[in-house]
Amino acid sequence: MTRHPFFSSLWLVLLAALAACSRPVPPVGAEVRLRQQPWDPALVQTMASLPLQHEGRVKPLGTLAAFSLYFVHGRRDLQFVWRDQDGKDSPKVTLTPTEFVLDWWIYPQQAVDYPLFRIENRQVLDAVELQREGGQKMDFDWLSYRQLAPAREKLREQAGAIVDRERRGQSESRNRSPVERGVMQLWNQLVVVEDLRAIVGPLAWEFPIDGQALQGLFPERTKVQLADLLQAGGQFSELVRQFGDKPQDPAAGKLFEVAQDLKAIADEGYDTIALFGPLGEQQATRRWWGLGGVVRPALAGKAAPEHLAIASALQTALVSGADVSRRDAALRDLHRQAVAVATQRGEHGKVELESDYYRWSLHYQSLHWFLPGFLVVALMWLWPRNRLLWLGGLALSTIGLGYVIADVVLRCVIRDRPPITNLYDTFLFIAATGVGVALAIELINRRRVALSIAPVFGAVVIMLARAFEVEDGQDTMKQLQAVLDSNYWLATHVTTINIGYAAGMVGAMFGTTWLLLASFGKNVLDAVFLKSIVRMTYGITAFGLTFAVVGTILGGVWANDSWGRFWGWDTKENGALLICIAQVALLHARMSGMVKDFGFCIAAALIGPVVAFSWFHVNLLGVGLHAYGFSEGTQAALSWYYTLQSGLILTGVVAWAAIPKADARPAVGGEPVGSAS
Amino acid sequence: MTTTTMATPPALPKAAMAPPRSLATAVLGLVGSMELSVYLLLYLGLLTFLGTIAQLELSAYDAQKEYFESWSAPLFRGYWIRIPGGLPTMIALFCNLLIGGVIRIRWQKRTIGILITHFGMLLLLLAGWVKHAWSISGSLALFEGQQGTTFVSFHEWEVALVRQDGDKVFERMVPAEAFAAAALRGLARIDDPALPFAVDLHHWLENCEPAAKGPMVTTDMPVVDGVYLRAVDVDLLRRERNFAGCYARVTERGGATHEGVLFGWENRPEVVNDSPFTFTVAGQRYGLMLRRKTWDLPFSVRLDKFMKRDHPGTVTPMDFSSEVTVFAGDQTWPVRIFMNNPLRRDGHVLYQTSYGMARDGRMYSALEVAQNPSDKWPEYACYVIAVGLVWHFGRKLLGYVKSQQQGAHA
Repeated sequence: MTRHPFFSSLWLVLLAALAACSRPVPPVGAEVRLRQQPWDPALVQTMASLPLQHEGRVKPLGTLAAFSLYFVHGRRDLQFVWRDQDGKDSPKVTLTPTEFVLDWWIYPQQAVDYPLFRIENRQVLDAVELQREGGQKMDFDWLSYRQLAPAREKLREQAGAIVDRERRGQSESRNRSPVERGVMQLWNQLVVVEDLRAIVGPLAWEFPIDGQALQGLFPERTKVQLADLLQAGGQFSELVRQFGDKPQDPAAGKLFEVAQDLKAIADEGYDTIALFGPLGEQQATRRWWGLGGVVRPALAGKAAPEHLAIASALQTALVSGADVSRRDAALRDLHRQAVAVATQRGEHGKVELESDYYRWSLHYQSLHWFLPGFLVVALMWLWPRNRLLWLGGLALSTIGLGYVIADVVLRCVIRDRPPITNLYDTFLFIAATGVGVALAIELINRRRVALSIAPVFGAVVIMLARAFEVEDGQDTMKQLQAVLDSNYWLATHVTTINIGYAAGMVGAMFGTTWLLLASFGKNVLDAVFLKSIVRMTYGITAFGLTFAVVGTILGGVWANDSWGRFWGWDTKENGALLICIAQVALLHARMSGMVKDFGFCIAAALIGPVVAFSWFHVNLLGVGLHAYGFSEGTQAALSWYYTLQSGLILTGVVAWAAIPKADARPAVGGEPVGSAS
Repeated sequence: MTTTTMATPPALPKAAMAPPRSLATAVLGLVGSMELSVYLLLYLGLLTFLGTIAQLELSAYDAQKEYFESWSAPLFRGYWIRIPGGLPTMIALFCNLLIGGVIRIRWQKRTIGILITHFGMLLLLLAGWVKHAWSISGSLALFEGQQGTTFVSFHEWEVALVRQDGDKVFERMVPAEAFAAAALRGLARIDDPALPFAVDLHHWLENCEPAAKGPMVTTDMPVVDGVYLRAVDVDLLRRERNFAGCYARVTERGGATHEGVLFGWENRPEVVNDSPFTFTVAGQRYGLMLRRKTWDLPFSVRLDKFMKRDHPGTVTPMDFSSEVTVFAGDQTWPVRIFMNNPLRRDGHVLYQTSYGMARDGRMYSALEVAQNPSDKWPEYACYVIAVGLVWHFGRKLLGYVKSQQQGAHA
């Protein structure tokens, strides 16, 4: 069989487009390479579940590493090639977030050259007086820590000035210029990366063993590291006491310099990311310690042996970069000790599960079912009578839905919370609800329309969830603010209103589907089939209205209990009200005969943007009680959605008017489906 | 068998067949029509959208006043074109719903769900009206050990005339809305024949600060005892941060005058407005002060302990709560007020909304106090609406499922 030249050309165009979209992987000079072997995947998995405390909760290292990388790098992995002196590139190297953190800890001289910071606005580099090549481009650049380091102070000054201005009320954070936004973003990224390093930072320091006193404590050593000093903490303190009244004694050597350094470490704390869960008398303390927190108990000779073991294991790993087996053994020891501490404190319960949750990535797995499901459904339209294809589409979509539900349930279990506590959760919940509702409709009427919508909706929303997760770069299981700390209201108001959102979006898809089918297929499709889509649109709109109205009022009842007012015309409240108004108006217009099928479906399709406005856009306004979740990516995605939906509606309307009706054209107007009867 | 065929009577014009409609019926038909519902809803949607976008420039409080609690609202901010505001729209919607959705709708089995829903919506709109017309809200900020008997408005001001008679203090209050507009344009006079003087207020400023008039300073504002009010840009987004001010001229019946400056103070518990503009008339000492509108509580509250816990290692509050003692008559009892768990008593509700730190480092608890006769109505309306919607659409869904099954069997 000879290929048709059209299809060959199409492939070429597609390949060319893909090539244009793909970016070359950035190179890193091979001369800085210190780690020669790839990380052992089993060890990486173990280390991903290392418990630590960050942003008020105990979480696995893998979670911290992943969200740090998303925030700084804007990708789920770190890719580069080693380029040797001859300009030859190695095969592409891909580091997982945990691997990156391990490199950042153990091979910092290598990791500082990783193409880490994503620079989207090159004027930011001008603002901090960093040299750059060329003018502003449409894409972005990567910058390594080493390249950024010289501008650190300038960056800190600029970011500090912006924050100061806003604190004094001279400007608003939402009115920042693109360069100011970029400066703040870059500074925050730098802080995140430095915080990751600060977990282990002081362990890499070397303290000179100078003077008789220290030499007596550490015989035959010329320098020691922090873990050694902590191990000998009590004796070290005794020495300081001994020489306290004679600091000029030559035997004291650098004893007091070392003591000053230890005090500085204790004062600094190094506890933004904390690895040491307090034990013994301090076990009731909720805040974990960084290395600084261990210094004082160690110097008093009261450090928990587990803490000393953690510090020693970590230090051993840091100095064993060249000895892979010793390094790996030390890391495993570190993990064992840290787990023991967390278990002793009763805080390890969900850490392994969370680590597994991210490893399983169930919502991502769902894409492996939704996307084939969509293909099967597409084939089903070629052979609509084929029951196997229908069953296949249904099965694939149902399995995909199962994965999303399992994902949502796992998140509930890990957090002991209802399904939705933040914007990211809404994606998963809305995906599950939307697909579930579409499949339920399909099971009722078996028209294949709802089945076509289910996998598409599921796949699109899950892909958006993943994009948002990376774009936002914030832990999606963050601790809640005090006002949100109510499982009752989270379970009722938040869940209900999001079912309303889901139904509104699915309803918009039904409306759009009808519009396109009725416009382009007006001479092909039969009226009964088209009418069935209108009925489905009506049903899903009514379903959505019920939940949107109840959810909106419940939100008011919650606000009344929290803030003392039922309704404050806050932007988010207004968004929810707009959905209710749009749906009520639509159903009343239908009942009164003001709109027929055509108008009804256009209006239903328009409810999609209204839902999007309420769901996300009001958060981007930067005002009101729900001003969170802002990112330029989200704004761009919303703009795309508005454009796409408007385009589809416009296309449908134009086609409706432009395509002439054949004599035997099925009647697609008809009696209202939404009467009071 | 014979068959008789009846002749078909000639068709009458529709108008001739329909019974004559009175004007009242026609008006009721129009006011209660579903078409009007749709137009009103779409218009309310437009207002809601405009009021949302306006919050980019205005505080939620101002947007609420300007768009939703007003008779007319600006179509575009900064331009003169005005459109009907939220008040007439919601009143019209209420009438439309009452007439069309409750009175004129057929009360049948199939409309039970719709009727229940409409009743719920009416209750909700009514609750909104009652709140708008009769509710008040303000704040009560207390340090530990401090007892409060009043609460103050977030945004509204009043002028209080204080007269001390021995141990008793007499107060007369005039809300700012009664004089601010006139004082802004020129002069607002407060003249009560029972008082031996009249008060003229002028040069009203929404946000200002008192400043000393030095030799190098030029100002158009009056200067009283070397002090004048310097206008400051009004903070439209955080209106509670504005400090109002104006000048007062007290004119005795005999003609003598006293000039003074009134300045609104910061709403913090450690800031006490203890220096009103004082003057003596006929041997009696009076004080005039500009303050945030103040209301009495029917009971008093003492803050025994304020607790705030952050998520470990962060400055994000995990919870904060106030342990208070309520004093009512001879009775006292302890209550814990915390997020989502207010204290309800004697028509007043006290919520734990915030906290703050005085300049000396002491923490204080900020409670919001609301007096709203329709406090719980929206909650009841929610239940009613939920029942109505589930009833109506559930019935329709069951009918649809049944028809699909019948279709499948056929």
